[in-house]
Formats: sequence, C-alpha cells, structure tokens
Amino acid sequence: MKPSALTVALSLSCLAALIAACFLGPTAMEPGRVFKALFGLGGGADTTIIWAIRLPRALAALVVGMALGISGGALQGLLRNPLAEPGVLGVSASASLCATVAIYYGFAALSPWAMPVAAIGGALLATAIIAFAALRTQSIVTLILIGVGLSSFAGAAMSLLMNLAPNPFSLADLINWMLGSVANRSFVDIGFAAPFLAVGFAIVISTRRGLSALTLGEEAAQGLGLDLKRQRLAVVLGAGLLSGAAVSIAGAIGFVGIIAPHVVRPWVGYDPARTLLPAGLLAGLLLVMADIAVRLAPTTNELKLGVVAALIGAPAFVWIAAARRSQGAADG
Amino acid sequence: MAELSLEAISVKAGRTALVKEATTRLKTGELVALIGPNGAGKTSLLRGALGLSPLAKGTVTLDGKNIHGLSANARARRIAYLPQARPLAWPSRVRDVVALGRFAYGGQLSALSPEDAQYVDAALNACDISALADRKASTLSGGESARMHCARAFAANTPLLIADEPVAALDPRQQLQVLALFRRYVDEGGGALIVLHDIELAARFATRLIWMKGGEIAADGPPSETLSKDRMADIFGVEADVSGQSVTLVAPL
Repeated sequence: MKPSALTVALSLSCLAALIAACFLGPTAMEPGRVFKALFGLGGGADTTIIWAIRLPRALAALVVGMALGISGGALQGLLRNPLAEPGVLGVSASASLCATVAIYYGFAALSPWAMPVAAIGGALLATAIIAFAALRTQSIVTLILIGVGLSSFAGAAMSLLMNLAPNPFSLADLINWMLGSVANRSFVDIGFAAPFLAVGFAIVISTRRGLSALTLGEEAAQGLGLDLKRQRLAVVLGAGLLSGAAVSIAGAIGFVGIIAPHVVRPWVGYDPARTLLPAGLLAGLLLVMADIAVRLAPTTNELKLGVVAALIGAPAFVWIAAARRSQGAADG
Repeated sequence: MAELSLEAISVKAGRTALVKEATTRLKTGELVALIGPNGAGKTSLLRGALGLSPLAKGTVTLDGKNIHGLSANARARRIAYLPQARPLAWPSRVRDVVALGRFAYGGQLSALSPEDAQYVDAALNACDISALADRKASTLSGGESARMHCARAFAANTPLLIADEPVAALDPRQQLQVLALFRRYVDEGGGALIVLHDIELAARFATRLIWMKGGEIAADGPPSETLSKDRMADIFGVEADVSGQSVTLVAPL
C-alpha cells in the first residue's frame, strides 16, 4: 500500500496532536522545556513528566483510537454496514467484563499478560457471536440488538461480579472500565497490549482486498474468488484482537469506530480496503484531541475520555442511522 | 477451450433436494439458457456447478479437474459468476466495481497493475459504460447497472461465465442490449450459462436451452428441438402458442 495524501496528512496531524498533548498538565512548561524534555535534554523532573506521564497517556489515546477505528472499519466492511463497531456490537463491553474478572479475581496478579489476554478473549467471544448471528440474519437491526443485549449483559455481570469479588475495589475502577479512560497509563500498559495490537493489525490489513470484494455481497464475492469462511474468521480474529487490546489499555470507549470510517469513506471512494488505515489514524487523532479536551475542561473531577467520545459519537451514530433510512438502504 | 461438466449432481438444503441428479455441461462457444419456473432449482444448480454449495451426490469437473478441489482463486480465473443483482454495500465508483472483476489476479483497487487496468478499460468499453466510469454506482439506472455488472464479469477475462437472471427487471431495449453483450462474449470465444425468464429471448439468443422443473433437468438441447407447446405446458404449466422461436402465452393450465 502506498500512503495516500490523506494518510500522510492524518499521520502528521496525529504527531502534532501528540506533541500538543505534552504541553498539558498541572506543571506549566513553556515550549522550550517540553521539546528539551521530549528529546531527553531537559532536567530529570521534566523528562519524567513528559516521558512517564504525558506522552504515555497521549500515546495510549492514539493507539486505542487507531485500534478501534481500524476494527470498526473492518467490521463495517465484513457486515457491509456503516453502523457496525466494537462498542455498538457489545464487543468492547464484553472485553471490559473479562478484563475486570481477571483483575478482581486475582488472575491479573499471576501474570501481567492475564488482563490483556482476558480482554481479548472477551472481545473474540463477542465478535464471534456477532459474526455467527450475521450468518443467520441479513438484518443489521438484529445485529445491533444483539450488541445491545451483549453490552447490557456484560454491564450487569460486571456489577454482579464486583459485588461478589473477594478483593476490595473502588467504584472509580468500575467506572474506568465501563466508561473508558487513558489517565495514568504507562508505557508498560501499552507494551502488554502491543503484540496483540500488532497481530490484529496485520490480520485485518491482510483481509482488506476481501473487504473490497464484499461490497458486491457475499455470493458475488465468492464468485470473484474470495474464500468467505477464511475472510470471516480473519476479520473476527483481527477485529477482536484489536478491540480487546484497546479495552485492556483504556476500558470500553464507544463510537469512535463508527465516526472515523464514516468521515473517511467519501475521501477513499467508499472502498473498505482504503478506509482502514486513514480511519485508524483519524480515530486515533480524535481520541488524542478528546483526551486533551478532557484535561482542559474546567470540571472538578476529570471527565472520562469515554464519556466525551460518547457525547460526540452517540449523536453521530443516530445521525448516520437516520441518514441511511432516508436513502432507503437495502438491508436495514 | 474450457469445459464445465456436471455429472449427476444433487444439491440439498437440509433434507430437501433442490437439485436431483442433474447432468449437463458448458463449453466455450456456447450460449446456454437455463429456464424453468420459480423454485425449479436453477440458482441451486448454478451454485452447485460453481462449487459454492456442497454436493449431496455427483461431481462437477472444470477442464477435467474436480471443482471442489480447486482453490476459489483458481476457479474464479476460469469462470466468472454474476449472481442475482443485489444492491452494493457502498456507493462505490463504477470503475472500482468493474475492477473487482480482477480480484482473482490479486489486484488492489487502489493500485491496479497495467494489465488489470487494461482489462478493466476494455470491459468498460465493451459494455459501453466508459463515460460512466467515474460515477457512483448508486446513481446508475437499472440498465446501466446491469451493464456494469457484465463489465465486471468480462474484466475477469475468463473462458466461462455463469449469470443468474442478468436481465431481470430491465426494459425490453436494455434486455436486448445486455443479451447482445453475452452473445458477443460467446462469439469472441467464451462460453456462457445464463438464467432467463423470457422464453422468447432465450430461444433467440441461446444455442441451447436447459429446461428445469422440480430440481430436475427435464430437457437439454437447441431451441429448435426442445421448445414446443407441450414443453411449455409441462415445464411452466401454461398454454402457449409456439411457432419457431416465437412464443405467445395464452393462459395458465
């Protein structure tokens, strides 16, 4: 894939947003100090603030956004519907549930890999349920209702498990997992999710031609020479790995996976293959900027990143759904 | 030269037999029309012939090789398939839709090889939609859209082509235009199997008619030998006046 102008522009914007995010925090630092610290030339305290607190947080937002944007784009291509997304389909909530189980029942203490693996397991299970349901129904409404069911179930199960959990927990943790946040994330947190993100990314990118072919419908795509079973499996696996890993870093953040591909599509000729990378970059950019907004907002308790994402994303979701109706979409 | 050969194939959905021991073949140089009432098993026969549905019995061979042993790619390079038209998932550009015909050759829509691009251009030209290449497919009329799908099949440059009701819901002029495209494809050395509902058109354009009823092939031969008043009564349950290639429907029996 040679990078398009769009991809280059979005990459540069992401970089700019990451740097901008390094300026924010309780310790006011003028640009010179920030850049010195970024390149490791500043004092010890400055370097710690930038490299241990601000940059990891911004990078976590970027990586989580990218993972959600790409898996959203892939799921939309597979299900041939712009409303599909890990959050809406209940994938993120299921991953969140499994991650909390791992934490509060002590598995996470056994190995630092336990939590990301649990989150990914939850995501894969939910993605598989959705994909299986998609075989039986052509209706996206049914799929979204299944997603709503999965989300509600995961939310209820999470509350129940936390009531019964042997380890003490705080309500703040529960809220972090359910609403999503990248506050206080470290490079270590990102590091444990990184291998899963990398593999998920590689798998999803390998399915991109098949996603283009699916534009014609499953029957015609098979006629073109697409191995449909393998395609389905690969997208489920790739999207599950990406969204599970994203949840293991930041909890359940919804809707970015819908908005970013939707905005990108007209720029890439509505080709699901060409949507993936720019959609990931845009979603990453959106989350870094949303996280900057969270930190700038003059609230006493810091807003959760997931709340801001949903405040912007949910109305966009409704708008996209309504616009589809008025176009007389075929398989609504 | 290519040949698709169906040897007594049966296709089942659960316990219901959709196709029962059907034997026929498709060779280059033939334009074969598959006709029969709704529910006769025409689409199931096509899916079985393409290796897309598992067979309960029988074998399908493509140039002597079992089609179920071929990779999806290898098959797609020999047979193009146009299923019944369904709306596209996205408002893609016409050129991109036609370029999907090159899928089996590994082409990406964003970076077509010069060879792929050449076949795409030729197919757009052949179907007289070059001027529409940069339009969104969702803005095309029914006839233009049908020609776009033909172009995507022709872009694959396969020796054989199977199309399921390619002229459904088109006006008479568009039907003739699309069928003329298939005839030219056959004249240029291809072999096509197409499902048609208009018997008169089938008799005019096809070199052979395959008549299906209740999952079985009831007759298989040139229009002059298989089209008759009795056949219309047997297959479709209609009284029809048949003289030569012209068929006038009178009443249901």
